[in-house]
Amino acid sequence: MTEPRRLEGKQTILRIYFGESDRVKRRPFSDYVVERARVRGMAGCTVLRAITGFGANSIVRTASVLALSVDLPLVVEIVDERALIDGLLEELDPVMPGVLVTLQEVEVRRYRAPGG
Amino acid sequence: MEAAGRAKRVRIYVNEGDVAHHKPVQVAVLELLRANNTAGATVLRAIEGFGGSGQIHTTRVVDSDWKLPIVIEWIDAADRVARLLPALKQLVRPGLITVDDTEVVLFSPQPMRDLPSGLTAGEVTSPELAIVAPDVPVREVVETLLRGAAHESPPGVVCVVEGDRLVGVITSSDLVRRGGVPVRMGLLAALDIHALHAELATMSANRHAARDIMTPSPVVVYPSTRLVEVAALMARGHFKRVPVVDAAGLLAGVVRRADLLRTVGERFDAVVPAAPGAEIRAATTLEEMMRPDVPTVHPDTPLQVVLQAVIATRLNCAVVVDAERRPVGVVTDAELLERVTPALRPSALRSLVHRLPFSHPGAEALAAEQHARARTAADLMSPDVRALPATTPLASAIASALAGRHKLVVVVDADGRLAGVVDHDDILRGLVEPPAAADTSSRSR
Repeated sequence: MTEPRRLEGKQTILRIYFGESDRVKRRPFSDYVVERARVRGMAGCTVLRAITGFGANSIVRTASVLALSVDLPLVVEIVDERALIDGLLEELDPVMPGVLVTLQEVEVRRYRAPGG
Repeated sequence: MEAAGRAKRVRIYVNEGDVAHHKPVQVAVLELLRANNTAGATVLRAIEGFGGSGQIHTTRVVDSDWKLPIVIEWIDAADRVARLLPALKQLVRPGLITVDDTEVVLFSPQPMRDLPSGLTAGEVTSPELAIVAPDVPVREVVETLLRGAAHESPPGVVCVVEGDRLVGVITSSDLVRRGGVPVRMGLLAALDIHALHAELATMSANRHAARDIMTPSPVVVYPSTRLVEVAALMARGHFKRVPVVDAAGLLAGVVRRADLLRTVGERFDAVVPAAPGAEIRAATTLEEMMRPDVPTVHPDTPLQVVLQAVIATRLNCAVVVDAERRPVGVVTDAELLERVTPALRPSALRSLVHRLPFSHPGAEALAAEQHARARTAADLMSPDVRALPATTPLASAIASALAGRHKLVVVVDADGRLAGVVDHDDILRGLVEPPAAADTSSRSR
């Protein structure tokens, strides 16, 4: 067993904003990011589905009954060390859809990896 | 937001069911942000929380009113955030707004290629406007559009203005989808005066007002918006026209797709001598953008079959080809209506409207068809077909697409045989999208 990850202290939060229809070789981009983050042993990864929103193309996507979640905005959030996040971003770069990617400093107060 | 770098992340915490300006607060916020050309916003719904009222909202128990917390995230340049915050504060009552610094590592909304970047919307804004008040009836909206159609540069869209503010737009397709108008404006304009009056008379019974059928809070651009952004907006939304508002929010005109293409085409030409074709030869060719699935008919194809071909796709036209599959003409729905004999017009119109097979209600109509001036594709088509080789770059196809009365360029292979067609929409998409992203299979307009 490897040492459980420690994350307390100043870390970075990565957020990737994209659409449900964005794909990497037919796989949903969200699936792909979660898998790559896991393979790289990153601290965690959360995918959030928005109920509505618009991107720079000014097209409002909405989860109303009329347009039943065809292509809603998704957000991937990953909190980890800056170096690990930079590594993931480098790998994702060639397949990144037309999206928004932001980084922000956060202070992690508690992190317990399962089984750690 | 221009590119990667420092930016602000704004988070707005409200509750589902909160209202601002008589709409759900998240809708009001999105509309405000969109109307101001912001970079984008995302609305997330929480599963539990409590706000200033101290009341807990949750999905776990059957919450009586399901007013779950909502978070709106908006990331943009600091100056734009500062400018819009006062207006946001007006909308978010009660609620919480936080702003923090964030680093944008990637912001790639639209790939842009080959469009002259120095041009702005102001340079192609057409001041020809059709304006109505929100409470005018549908018939008046239609008449306004028809009057405009007679102008040299028809506005093609009705702007709904309340006070001095643009509150919505009505296009031909809004009239058809929501206004109960049976056909798009291009066809109405092709009707003779009697048929037109008959159609207008039925519209008088329509009790919808402009307000009911308009697209509210339409996408707008500023005179300073770069033309590449306008083109991307139009290509993405399949818009033919986008209203232009000035800094004070007053309506300044519209940018029409044809004008945009013309301007872009002119600038391309101007570039040629300076850099010997480098930019243009690098551009997409017609082959990459054309639709290969165009309906075809032969010169001797009878009227019913021609009509069938015309309504087969949303292109609303068919290409007439000879035995060698060389294009000899084009039949559009409007021309079809113009050239069929008056007695046949009602059923032709019905077919075009409902996309139904053309049928003859009785012996009378059958007799009319016998005497019709136009019975085959050869009689119906306009022979001034503009065919371009598939290897033509889009940039040089623009002039051709704008020259004739058809919004269509017929594409031929090396032997002069029909390969496909390209319309204004395809050309615009070709200019702003990389070929890989261009989807030629499923388009709707």
